[in-house]
Amino acid sequence: MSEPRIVKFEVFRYSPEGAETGEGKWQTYEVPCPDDYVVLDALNHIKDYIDPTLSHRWSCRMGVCGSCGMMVNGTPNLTCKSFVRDLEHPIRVGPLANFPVVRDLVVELESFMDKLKSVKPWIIRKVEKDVKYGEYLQTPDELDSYRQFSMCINCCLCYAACPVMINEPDFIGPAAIALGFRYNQDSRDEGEAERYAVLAGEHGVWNCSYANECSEVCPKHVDPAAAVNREKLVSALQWLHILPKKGA
Amino acid sequence: MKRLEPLWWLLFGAGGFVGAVLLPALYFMVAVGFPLGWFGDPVETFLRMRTLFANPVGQLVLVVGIALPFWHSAHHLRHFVIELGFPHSDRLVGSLLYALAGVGTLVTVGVVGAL
Amino acid sequence: MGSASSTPTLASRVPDGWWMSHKRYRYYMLFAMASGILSLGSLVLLVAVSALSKGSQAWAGFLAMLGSPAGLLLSVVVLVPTCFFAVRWLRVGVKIPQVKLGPMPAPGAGMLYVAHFGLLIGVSLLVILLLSGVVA
Ligand code: FES
Repeated sequence: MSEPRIVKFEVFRYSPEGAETGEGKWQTYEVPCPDDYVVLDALNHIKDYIDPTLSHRWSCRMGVCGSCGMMVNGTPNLTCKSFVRDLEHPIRVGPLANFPVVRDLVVELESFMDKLKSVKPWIIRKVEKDVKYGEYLQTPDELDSYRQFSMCINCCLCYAACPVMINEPDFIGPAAIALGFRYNQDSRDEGEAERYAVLAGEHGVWNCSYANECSEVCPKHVDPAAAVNREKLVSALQWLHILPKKGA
Repeated sequence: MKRLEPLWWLLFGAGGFVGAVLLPALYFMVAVGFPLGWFGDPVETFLRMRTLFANPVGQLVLVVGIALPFWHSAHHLRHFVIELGFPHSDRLVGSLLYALAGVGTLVTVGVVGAL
Repeated sequence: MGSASSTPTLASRVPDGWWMSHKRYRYYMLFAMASGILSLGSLVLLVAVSALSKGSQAWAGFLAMLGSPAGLLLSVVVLVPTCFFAVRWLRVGVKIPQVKLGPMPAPGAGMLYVAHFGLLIGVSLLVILLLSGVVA
């Protein structure tokens, strides 16, 4: 194996003076990076050997848990999937845009959790059928109609990329809408009428201007923009009373 | 205005479609091809245009083709203004733009009706 | 959403260089502007129709106006964004109707591509044939 290369990183650091503006300091680190290093490896190296005061989140290191999302050279990305060798140097690592910053690279996700809950992302039945009558059956076609939207890992890259979030922070946003849409599309679900007020409400789909950025950055190829805009079409037709709402 | 969001979006979509499918060719013929005399002299094109459009079907095509893009632009510009950093003036800007589109539609109906 | 968290935080940060630094953002903003220019095209057509209703003299006047250098410049300003708009609109529009509406099955992406661009080509040909006088 070749010698590790020394790579310059500029990492965002918390500074209490930035409470209003979100400004902090950019601190430079020089990290010896083997060829197979991802940005997360470099951050862990900094934390372990250079500066233990750096704060960042991660867990699975394999693009599954969704906790290592950060701005890498200005674009939201999973740091465990961003290879150092593919990036322009110096590499600038910041906290996800459009979220309040708790410290350094760690963002506050409380509002996102509230948004997720607001779309009721679970199967709603008018009357729950007793287990003794067996499971709810579904054809492969019915599964396909929502399957991709269930692949979301809640990494929030889409919120950091969405230009609507900049100006309308209460927008319930790509991931939450895609999840609501996923349950609306599920043949076993009867909760469409209950979700309508949120999905098509003041902070719902109508805020979206279809920049498609959410789908561009999604590491799981969920295509939230498709979900949001299909939900627009469906709820517009429901608003015109051309289509019924499931479970109404 | 907020309660009518689905309506604005449907008009936006319809106008976008008309603008994408009909406008390029129509605009090219009327505003480039005819003035440069590629398709006959002014008298010929005048008579041809009258036969094509001075009837109910032709008038309907013109009203749809001209007025719907107004609604499209109004809605997209409204979002554009929000994106430039003015979410708080949305009510004012949006009402103004939709009002303009409404006036444009009325004028279009009037002008096309006089054909 | 009114989530009151007790964790002290920095205000959220705007994406770096929004909105001119990123190629995709730039395209998106150009698209929004092209959307606005669509109405400029409509407006010119409105003037054309008004000239058409006033008689052949007014029509000839309109044609002379648009045939002038300034008029042709205006047409470039309208047509270039309009064509850019048409292509992007029909392309991104393919994603939206891929959903089951009531009893109707969801159409596939391939079918919608063909439908969208087929419509563009078909309508354009029809307009050109009719207005050029090739088919009377
Ligand atoms: S560490 Fe789990 S997704 Fe990156």
